[in-house]
Amino acid sequence: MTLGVVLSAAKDLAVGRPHASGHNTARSFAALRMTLILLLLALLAAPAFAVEPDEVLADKALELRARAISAEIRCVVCQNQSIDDSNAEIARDMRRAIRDRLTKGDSDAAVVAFLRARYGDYVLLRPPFDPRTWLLWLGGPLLLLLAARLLYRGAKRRAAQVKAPPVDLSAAERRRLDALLRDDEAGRR
Amino acid sequence: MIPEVGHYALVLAMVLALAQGTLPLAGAAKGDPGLMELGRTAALAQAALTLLSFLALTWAYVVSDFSLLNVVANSHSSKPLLYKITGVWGNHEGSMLLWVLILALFGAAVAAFGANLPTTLRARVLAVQGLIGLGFHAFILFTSNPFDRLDPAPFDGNDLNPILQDPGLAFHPPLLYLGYVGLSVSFSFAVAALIEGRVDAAWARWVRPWTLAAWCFLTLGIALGSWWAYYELGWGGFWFWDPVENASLMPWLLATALLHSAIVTEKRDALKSWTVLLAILAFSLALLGTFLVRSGVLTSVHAFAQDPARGLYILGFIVLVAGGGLTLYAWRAPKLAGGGLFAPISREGGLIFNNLLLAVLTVVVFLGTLYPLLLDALGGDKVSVGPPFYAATFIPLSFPLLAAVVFGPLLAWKRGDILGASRQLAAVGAVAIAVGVLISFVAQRHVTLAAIGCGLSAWLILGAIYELARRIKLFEIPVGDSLRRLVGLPRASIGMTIAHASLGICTAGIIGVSVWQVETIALLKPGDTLRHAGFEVSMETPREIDGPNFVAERGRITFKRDGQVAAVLEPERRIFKTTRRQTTEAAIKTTLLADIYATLGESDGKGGWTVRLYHNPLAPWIWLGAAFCALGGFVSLTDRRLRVGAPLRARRPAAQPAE
Amino acid sequence: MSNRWLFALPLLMALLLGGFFGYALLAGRSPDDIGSPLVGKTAPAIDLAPLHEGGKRLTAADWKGQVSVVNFFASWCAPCQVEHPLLVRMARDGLRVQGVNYKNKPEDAKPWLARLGDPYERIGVDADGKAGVEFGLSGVPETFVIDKSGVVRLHLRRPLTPDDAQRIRALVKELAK
Repeated sequence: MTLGVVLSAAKDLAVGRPHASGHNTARSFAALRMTLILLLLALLAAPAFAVEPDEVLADKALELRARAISAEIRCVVCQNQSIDDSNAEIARDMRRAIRDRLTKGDSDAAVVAFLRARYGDYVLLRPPFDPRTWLLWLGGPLLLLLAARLLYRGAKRRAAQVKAPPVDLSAAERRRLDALLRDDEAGRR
Repeated sequence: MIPEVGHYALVLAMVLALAQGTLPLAGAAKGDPGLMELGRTAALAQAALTLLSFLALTWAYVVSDFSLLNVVANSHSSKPLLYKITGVWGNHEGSMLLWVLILALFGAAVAAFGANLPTTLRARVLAVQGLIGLGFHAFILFTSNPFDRLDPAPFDGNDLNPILQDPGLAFHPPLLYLGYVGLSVSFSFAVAALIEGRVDAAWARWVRPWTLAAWCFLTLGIALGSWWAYYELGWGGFWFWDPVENASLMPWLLATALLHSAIVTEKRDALKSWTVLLAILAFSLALLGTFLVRSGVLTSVHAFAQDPARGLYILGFIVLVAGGGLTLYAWRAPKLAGGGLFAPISREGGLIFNNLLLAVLTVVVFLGTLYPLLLDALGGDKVSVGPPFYAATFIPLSFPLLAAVVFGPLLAWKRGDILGASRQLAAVGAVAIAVGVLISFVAQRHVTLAAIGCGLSAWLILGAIYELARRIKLFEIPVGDSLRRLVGLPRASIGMTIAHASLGICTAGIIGVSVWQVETIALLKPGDTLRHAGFEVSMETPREIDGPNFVAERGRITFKRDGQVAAVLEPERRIFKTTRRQTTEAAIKTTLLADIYATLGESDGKGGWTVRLYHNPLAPWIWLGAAFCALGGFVSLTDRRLRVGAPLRARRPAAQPAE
Repeated sequence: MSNRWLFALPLLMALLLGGFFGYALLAGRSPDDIGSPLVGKTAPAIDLAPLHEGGKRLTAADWKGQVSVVNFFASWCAPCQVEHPLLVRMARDGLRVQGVNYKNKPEDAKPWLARLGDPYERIGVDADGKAGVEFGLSGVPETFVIDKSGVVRLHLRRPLTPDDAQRIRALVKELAK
């Protein structure tokens, strides 16, 4: 968001929804951007908020589960928003579907599976862990291990090394550097 | 007429950038002082002309010159003056002009304040700056000219997107650009050093203030953007791991790493090639951010410019800049001999640990941001990477980094004593653990996160205070002497203490909102009262407000606790007249310990209004922390050792009471 | 240094990445495209009340034995109006076209159809968008082709173009065999 929203500004005038993240009721088709009717309808039809009071379940525990699931489901017409944060109509429908299924006794996993079957992995803000995403999930930690190993070996090698003079500076440069470092020592105290 | 002057100045500036980018290079290669000196003149003149061009565009906005296409598309005569001015950079073309202006100003600053740099190094730095500037000037003039005319001129403009008509967002881009573009100076220094084939302590000292300045602005820019999202988007969130946010976070992480590794290069003559690499990568990632935002490869309506030609140009330019820098690196860096030896447990070792984790965090964000694109291109699989991914990867990986922050400054250079440091920090650690344990009993949800986060926060803040107290020998010597020592401390070390403590403040804020936020979504009728986070909340019937270029519905929501009014908030829902777009203006009352936050939704037509109320404990600390973080940077920047002209002038003896 | 290649690694990665971005940019992929996971799966079980009085309910059972083109539409949706003639022509040429009237008041939908022509063999009413979520809808219009065994074979998340219409005709012919 943040800067992104700024940037969306200029372009998505035609998409025309409040929070500028570009969620409108119907998807915005490039060919029909100029269709004023659509724009006006979108304006009239869309609620201003994400979760609306009338959606909230009376059962607190169930409602909490619904919110938690919603936060992990991506809105399909928005900019990288969860359906919990989105005020798009379709996000509202999906939130309702989640609550319907929870009320009918579905488990959290079953609810997510229901949406995944219809909207694909795209709606999972937490990407599934499978061979396609191994690199995504393990890339960082693997790099950490690899670099740590490299550093460890480097440290061992260096420890074995004899101390060598740092760099070959000319006499004049050496003098200047010494002056700098002296000044430095003075400054540090 | 004035737009033509601006246009012409921009063309001239491009020609000067070409001169700045080539002549000093030739001069440095041939040892021709005249040619090298030309670089300075060109840099100063280029900045002056670019400024002239920018002012011309600003003028067109201020007087609403609708014969300019850019003004028509992004302004309106009824817009308040502030937003007429900020509208200059609220669009693709104008923001690129601002970008290149800041770039030119940084170049001019190097020319003006770089008197103590070796002539060849300065010439080469300026030349690299000139070449980067050339690329952007050409980009603007050939693909995104803000001075294009429109004939016949319409009667009025289309107005600026309403969400940009906000003080927070108006100044978010300039700060961010100051950060991004400031990193270009570090980049230029790195490339110039690679051309020279030499990286030494003096080089590191010259690079540090530039990097530090860029880093401060970047910190502020990111924080301002996040703050804006918090109060404008209306659901109390402050960071969304959006690709565009990530694009600004990655250079920040690498710039932070660069700040720390440059210390090692300066003090110990080590980590040279790594420091140079960081300087190249930090700026490359800043450019990549521009590309991601503007090309539409990640998010289609997000970007200013979805023109593939523009995307291709920027991409080609990044490949040229980053590829050029990295080619030089592959060629020259192996010859940069590593200097000072040190044991793994030492100040150097600590800084390497910091760099390692910051690099890994950058890679995590990088992978998360680009993975959907990668998978789609490889096999058409659609995946999304959102906040839950980062919560599971980035957050835990940042814990060891935050934990190590306190140890670093207590370790000696070359060979540190981790046991000694641990013993010194035993009391701080005990308090931090106690805080964590206590919190684990209090927290209702995210218990582990809350406990670790709060513990770390206490650890960071107390650790920074302890370190400062140790430096000034508080309670070891008379308090007056301690205070004298405090005043005598180098600004850089005070800055470090502030910045390190600010991490704890920021962490506390993030944890506070994540763990203890109370949300109430309700249909509220005027006269009715509802309970929310211990308050009795009531609302008056919203009034119609007529703004300069919008109409609004303004609610008046009263928060009472035990019969006492705690806050009266006036959130608005605005509809802008020209664009017909709505914005929500949240109202926030902050007590420094918590934010009381309210937004107004629509009427149900039966006398009720939807309201969203939040109680966000510690939320202000997020931005307070970020502000302190930048403040720490600025304080360091005033350290005379880091001042650009310092090494020459500071040779006066007894400038500081040495002991 | 023995690991000189290490210093060239950043360059290689950058070039790889650059090439990749260039490809992504030129391939013209849309970051909004969310894919169609229902294709190849049995169509969701729905049972919708008819739009017209005395009309037949739209149920999953209808799809057994005959290839169906199922189109989600609404009178408030401008792109629907644009693609509508293509559907009318398909129906005239003997394709079995069924409609789901999405979040639309019947009193709005009926005159709209009267004006533009009614190509639908039957129309189910999805007043609250539940059937939409069942079908993984992200907006209107969207069109599905369901084969004789009730399996989704095509899902277009956009208003039909003449090319799309050709593609649907060819597919229906193929599936009808």
